[in-house]
Amino acid sequence: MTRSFAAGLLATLASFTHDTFRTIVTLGSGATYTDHPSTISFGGTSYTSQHLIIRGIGENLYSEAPAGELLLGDLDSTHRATFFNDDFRGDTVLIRVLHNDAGTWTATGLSYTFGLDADALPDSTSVRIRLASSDAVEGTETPRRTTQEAGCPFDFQNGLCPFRWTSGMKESLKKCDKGYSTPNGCKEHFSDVTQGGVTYRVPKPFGGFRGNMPQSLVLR
Amino acid sequence: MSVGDRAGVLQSIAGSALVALGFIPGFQFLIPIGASLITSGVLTFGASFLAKKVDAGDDLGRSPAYGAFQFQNRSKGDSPLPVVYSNDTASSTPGHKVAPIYLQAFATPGGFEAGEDGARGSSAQGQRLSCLLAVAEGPIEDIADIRVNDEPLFETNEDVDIGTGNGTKTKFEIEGKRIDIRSVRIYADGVLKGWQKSVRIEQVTNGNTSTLVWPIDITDDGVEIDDSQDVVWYYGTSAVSGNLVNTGAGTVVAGSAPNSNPVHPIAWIEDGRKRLVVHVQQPLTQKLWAGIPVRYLDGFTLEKTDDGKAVKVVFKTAPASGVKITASYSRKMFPHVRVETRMGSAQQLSIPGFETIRNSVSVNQTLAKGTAVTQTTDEEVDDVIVNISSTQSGFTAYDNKGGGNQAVAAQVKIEWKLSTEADAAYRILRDPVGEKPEVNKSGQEFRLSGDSTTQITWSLSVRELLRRRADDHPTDKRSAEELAAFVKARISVKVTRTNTVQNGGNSLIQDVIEWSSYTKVLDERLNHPGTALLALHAVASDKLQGSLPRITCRVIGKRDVEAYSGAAWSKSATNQANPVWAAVDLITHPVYGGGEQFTKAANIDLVSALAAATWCDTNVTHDGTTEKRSVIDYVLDTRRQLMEHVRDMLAPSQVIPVLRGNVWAFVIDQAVTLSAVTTVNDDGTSGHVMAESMAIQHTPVTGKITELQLGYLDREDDHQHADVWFAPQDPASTRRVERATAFGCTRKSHATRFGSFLYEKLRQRGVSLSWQMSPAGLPIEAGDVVRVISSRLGIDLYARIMRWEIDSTETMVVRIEAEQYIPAVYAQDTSKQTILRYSSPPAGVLSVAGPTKGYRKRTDEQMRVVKAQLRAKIRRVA
Repeated sequence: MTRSFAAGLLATLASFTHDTFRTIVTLGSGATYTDHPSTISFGGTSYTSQHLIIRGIGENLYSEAPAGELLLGDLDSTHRATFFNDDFRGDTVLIRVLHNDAGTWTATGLSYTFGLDADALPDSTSVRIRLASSDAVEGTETPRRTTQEAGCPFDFQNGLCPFRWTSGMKESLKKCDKGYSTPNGCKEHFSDVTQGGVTYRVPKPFGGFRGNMPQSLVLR
Repeated sequence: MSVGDRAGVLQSIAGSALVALGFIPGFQFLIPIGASLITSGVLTFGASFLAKKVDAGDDLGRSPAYGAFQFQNRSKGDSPLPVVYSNDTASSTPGHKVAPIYLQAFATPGGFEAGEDGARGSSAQGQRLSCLLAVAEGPIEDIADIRVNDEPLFETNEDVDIGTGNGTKTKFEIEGKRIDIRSVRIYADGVLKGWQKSVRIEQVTNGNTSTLVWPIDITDDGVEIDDSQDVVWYYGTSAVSGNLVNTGAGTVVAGSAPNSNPVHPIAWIEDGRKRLVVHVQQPLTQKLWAGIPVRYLDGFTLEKTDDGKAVKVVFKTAPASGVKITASYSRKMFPHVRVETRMGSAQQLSIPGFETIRNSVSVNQTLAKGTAVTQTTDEEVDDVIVNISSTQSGFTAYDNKGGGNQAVAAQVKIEWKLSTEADAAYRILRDPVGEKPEVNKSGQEFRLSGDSTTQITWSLSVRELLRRRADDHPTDKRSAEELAAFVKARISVKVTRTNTVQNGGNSLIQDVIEWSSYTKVLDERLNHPGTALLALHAVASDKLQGSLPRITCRVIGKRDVEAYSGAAWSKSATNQANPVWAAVDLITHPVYGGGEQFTKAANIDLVSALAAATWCDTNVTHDGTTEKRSVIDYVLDTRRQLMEHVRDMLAPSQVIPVLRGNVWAFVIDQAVTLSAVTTVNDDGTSGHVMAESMAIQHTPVTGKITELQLGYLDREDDHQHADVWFAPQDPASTRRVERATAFGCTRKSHATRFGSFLYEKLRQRGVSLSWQMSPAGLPIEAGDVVRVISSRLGIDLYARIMRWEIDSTETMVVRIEAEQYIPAVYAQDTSKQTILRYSSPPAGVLSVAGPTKGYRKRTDEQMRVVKAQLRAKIRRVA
């Protein structure tokens, strides 16, 4: 199964009607509201909406934001398998709840976008997808940089890193391994220059410290 | 108050019976809710988020700024690089005190003395200490008030009258030793003449050249490159034109605003501050200009007098008659000290003397007489530092007759050669000192002497010793040749002890030494991008010796915090003083904050952010003084969750951050217009409330405090801990004292204002409510105030929504929790409070040691007087 199928399946399965309310989940960065069909076809197989539970979605003034989650229930093994090895971290979901008002689906005030915190967590019958809250997300501790280890914390060829690869440079310089004298390190990118018989020691934009960059969680 | 006293206070306070502190102290859930909600974490956070208290045992208790042991330097390790938001422009001393982190510290040997046997012995005389410290995340605005072991490094002198012009007099003098020439400011009738700051525009290249390196020399007298600022680049395919800055002292090129450029030149300074070298990585086809920051003297020179007791100010043209010449300057309070700072920009220049990478390699081989130990570096290096240590037992001769210990000595011979000289003989590293080294053979050994009952280490830099010998003996051809031969290469070093180890036969003598390690030194210009730096070079003195000094400074913080105007974001160093914009910066910054997850465009609720920022900036009058309601002065030096920092930094502003999905919104805890609020009714007739779902819980009397001790760092007292104490006008029979800390609050007026609000909030707690409703009743937002009616419960009151969440496990339901809204809290009738500043609790409140200075000194009678005075003052203000 491909990730795109899992994403599509998630979106489809998550369009679920519960009593007089319909929950719609739209996956993807910058997601906008889409009223998904109740089935999706993939590889000749048609998949239909399944049970969906949302909980923990809301606001909290005096504690961390609730650790919301989506629970996709009553899934067969084929469904669940699509969520194995798919890391949804970095994606966002738009969750909306509609109300059946005398036969017309109208928006309630619940229309929130969440980041996804981690991989989906399939179990024997369902798939649990955790929504990110600021406190729950790994890697949001600050200050992020520590003096533990010298290293480059900056985006390569962007922002604070002044290096720009241009034609004529070695192909290997297109990469950076964040080290200093490592094969694709800072010393390699900013090598000293000899001109007119004088060797100039070119400064290295190095000596920063690594940050605790967010790492994907694998909840298996 | 001493550190020990402070620790004792923390312990005693933490041990007292404190009620929980929070928006809803002790709030408890009233109805069955989903298992995902009921966690101990919810209750813990709920009890303490509004104004957290610092406990000695938690992370904040170890904070260099907020912990019990304030402003102790940490070493490179797992130390977070501090983020500083501090630029209270209304203060005469803007900025926050910090204790930077040691990145490098090394001592350079001083002179060498003749030993009694003609060999040479090392000495601490003239030993130089070099320290490099990471101050904060950059770019910052400035570093000021540097102190070493709590003593100011500089003494500042302002507006010193040094004479009056008469039309012919050109020479004036600033009297005083150790005046820092770079700090001197000369004014003529109050007009600054120098050092002035400017930007000098120099064309680097016309393009179409293969040249990659361009040295630019500043030849004008009285002009030097300002290495604390960044070079700005201008480029284009044709001559730039427009509004470049005039230097007043050099070439002027009209040009456009700085362009974003594709080549990203790198620049560095050579020859003191008189040459800028520019390097690009590929030949340029564009024209390139450099905007070089410079400092210049306008029409005069500065020079120290021969005896070093004054600085001469010599005007090229004599000031006119009657023109008053004044000077402002700093005087170094430590001898032979040099300080350099960098503000943490991306392109900041490296600091001379710290352009090396040092890696230690363990050797750990005991040196026995006549047995050589050899090591070869595994890579090309620029220098090798040989580290020889005694054992843990020390290095001394014990006297068992009570006469005191005696110094002992070990003699070693150090030899070296390049790995490329495989067949060549080793060269002997010679002692730099000697009357006639060209004929004197005795400098071939080093005498390591000492008297210590603990381990000591001698460090000998091969390159430094070669250089010093060549410098001190310019006629010694061999010294010059050896220095020239010591080039970057893999280097082999051989160390041999030449005198006998004595402690084998006499246990009273400890003189065993080992070659413990060597340090590989690579010369590189590392600029530590994005890190504000402080470098200190100093000669050992009676003020500076022994262990590493304690270094502190005041940081005027983040330079580039953005504020939203309602239409656009703009950067300014003053924005950081607003707690909300500082919080947004932290939430969205990709390097030190939450920028990996949150951006200004997608994750900040601009409407509420702007409203909250405006609320903070609104002027209020306090004790007759009008000032902004809330100015932040905060150091993040303890790694915690982003939300914890944001809550703490906003709490003293009565602003509460809340996540709505992945969007940060900001709720102001302020009075509302009650006539405009929504009504919810327990009978199911309004607000989509599920009938009879409402529950109510009264706050037990133990849930209300009677006194509040609010801690903060007092900027008027060197950012030391201080407190404001709140108590009822009529003391309660049973006291329940809470202690909290107002983070980022460093003004007494601000602490008093916030504390007064918090005190009323905590002692006037009303009921807690909960109910369930249909999602059709949304939108409802945390922070909203609603009117709550329940005939079943017999209530008709107002409540603030504290929490809601949706759950579709069984049925689709929204659960609400709320706290009674009490208008009197916001009225803050201070006539009912006793506000005791300077940490003075009401008489008899505590039987433990007083929390801060002043308490123990005051008798009950004195306290009654203070209270009466304060009451009168409060009434006047009210």
